[in-house]
Amino acid sequence: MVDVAVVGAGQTKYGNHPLGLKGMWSEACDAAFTSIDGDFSPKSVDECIIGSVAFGGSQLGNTAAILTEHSGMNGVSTRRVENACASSGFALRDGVMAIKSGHADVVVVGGIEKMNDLTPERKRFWLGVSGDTEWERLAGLTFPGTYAMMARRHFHEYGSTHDDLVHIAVKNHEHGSANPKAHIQKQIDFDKGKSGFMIADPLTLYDCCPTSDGASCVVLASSDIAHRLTDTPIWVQGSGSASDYLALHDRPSVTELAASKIASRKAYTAANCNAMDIDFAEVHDCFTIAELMATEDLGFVSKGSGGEFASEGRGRLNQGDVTINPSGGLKSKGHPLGATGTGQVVEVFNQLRHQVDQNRQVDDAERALTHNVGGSGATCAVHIFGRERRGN
Amino acid sequence: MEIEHWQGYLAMPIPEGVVIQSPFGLSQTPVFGSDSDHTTLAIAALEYLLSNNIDVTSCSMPEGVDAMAICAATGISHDDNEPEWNLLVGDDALVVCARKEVKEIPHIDIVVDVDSEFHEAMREAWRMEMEPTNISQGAYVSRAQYEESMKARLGMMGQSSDDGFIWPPRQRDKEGTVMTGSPVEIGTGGTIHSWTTLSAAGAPSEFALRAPLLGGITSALVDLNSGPRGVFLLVDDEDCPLDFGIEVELVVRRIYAQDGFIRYGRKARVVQA
Repeated sequence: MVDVAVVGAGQTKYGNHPLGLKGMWSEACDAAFTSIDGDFSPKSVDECIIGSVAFGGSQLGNTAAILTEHSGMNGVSTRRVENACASSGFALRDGVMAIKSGHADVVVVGGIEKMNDLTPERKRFWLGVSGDTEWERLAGLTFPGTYAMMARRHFHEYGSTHDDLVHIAVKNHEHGSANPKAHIQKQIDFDKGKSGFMIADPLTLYDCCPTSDGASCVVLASSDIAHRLTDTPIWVQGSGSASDYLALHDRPSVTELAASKIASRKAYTAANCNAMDIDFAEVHDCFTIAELMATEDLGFVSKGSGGEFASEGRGRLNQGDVTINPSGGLKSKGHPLGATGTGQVVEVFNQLRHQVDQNRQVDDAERALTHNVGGSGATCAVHIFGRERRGN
Repeated sequence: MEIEHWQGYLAMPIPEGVVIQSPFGLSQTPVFGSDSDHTTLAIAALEYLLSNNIDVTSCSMPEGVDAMAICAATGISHDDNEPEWNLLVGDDALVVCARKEVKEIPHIDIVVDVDSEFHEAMREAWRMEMEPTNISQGAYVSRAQYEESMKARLGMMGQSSDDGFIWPPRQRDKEGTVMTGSPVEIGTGGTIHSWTTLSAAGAPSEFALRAPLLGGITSALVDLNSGPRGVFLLVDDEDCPLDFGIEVELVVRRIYAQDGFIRYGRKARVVQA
């Protein structure tokens, strides 16, 4: 059985990046390639799979080809994967499957988005392009609105409150403040978190992730050659993905993401573990309510207990059952759509190798989970990583 | 004549017909609300007649109304040669739908005086939105895509399956079976499942010109009485505190304009007790 290891990972700083697509991708690849301990040549890559929404339309067609060309991989088989905000989570899954199928030994997976070089008017056209355009968009919804409806309904059905969401924002800003790659490296206190102006009632500014530029890159290798490239590979123990109805109104429940539940169950099964075995998780907190629901959908707490989990600080770094978003999450680290999924893997790679600054290191980190959601939950990819080659 | 409130408008029955007028006025002249026009008033007029069990199968339609939208919403046919009913519109915000010739169009007393600056700003926003140069640079609903779903969107036509009604219509049911069979009326009543008010900054760009004037836009997830769920903009919600389970009716209003034509749709309107 071929297993898959992460042997290198790197990213740009997220935020308002001075470089364009080519420059950012080149920078992320450099960071990933130089993180590889052994001899590595980009020319040895069998496949390069890049996730991107191509936000703004600056390079809608053949995005992957031009990026591969500008990162020393000209000639390598390449393609772009688009699954909204989960684009690179699915690029990662495609890379894992390429190696497991025996068709590739070394695969570069990554993601990229340039969001902040658009005029405000053009940016507004692009935000929300991944919802159900024909029905939701014509009803005035973009993702803040969609997640706001989920939040309001969750409050109603389970008694969670906006204060619970503020606790999530405060935690993620605290985590992100120590992450040198984060878009917003600034802590906020509870009062500040409560005082944000309204974006989509009940969600305020501090419930929403920023729009970020960024690129991330991960190098995968088969178990046959991983040890030639590094002494400390991080193993992909499980991969799961799923889809769901795109429009909120077609789903039986709006207080959970069915795709997250299904994808995580598949990943746990593949890794032969369960939620209690996870030391930390990078979850898709595009909005604070998304993290609250993720803690439930991924099985860290029972349905309806996500608010309590948040307000009791049980996801804070090294203070609770499981650390949630040690990077700061999308909320603080930033959310360059296509780059987010493999950006989560960069954090996992460094944390599991115990290579982040001590003040933000998850203690005794052995196993981690990434959770990457497309839009309001129509697609989801979940991966489980460990220092050990296989699961339990 | 008795005046009734109907779908956010004023309705006055006349012999073999009805007058539908906007409740808003400027200097005693009826003017349109922020998302109404002669087409939405005409649909309200025809739905008024139909709801009173008056048989309406064909109607003439003057210039200035969107005949395709009216037909899709009401199910009646457009006939300018030998119509059973005539639709009359003037410069003001009212329409008459009558079987006989109407010599004098009556006005109804204005209920709400509108702020003239707001009214003018909204008119200007719609004018700019209607410019052919106002095009999408991202998410886009083409004319063809809009027209494909018009009967579902405006006429609330859905599908019937073993598990109940389906709306909006689907190619296949949840088991993957191809949907066949005649479209069925889903109805326009429902209750609020959840809702949000998007600030002007959070609203889609299609609403960028009008959302700041309105102080944001409110959308609701509605449990239709017939079973399915849908998402709709709210209308006439300024003084309506929203809550879970409150009753709404779906009425036709303008949604937005792009490429030089208006997209119409159903909006949710709180049914006052």
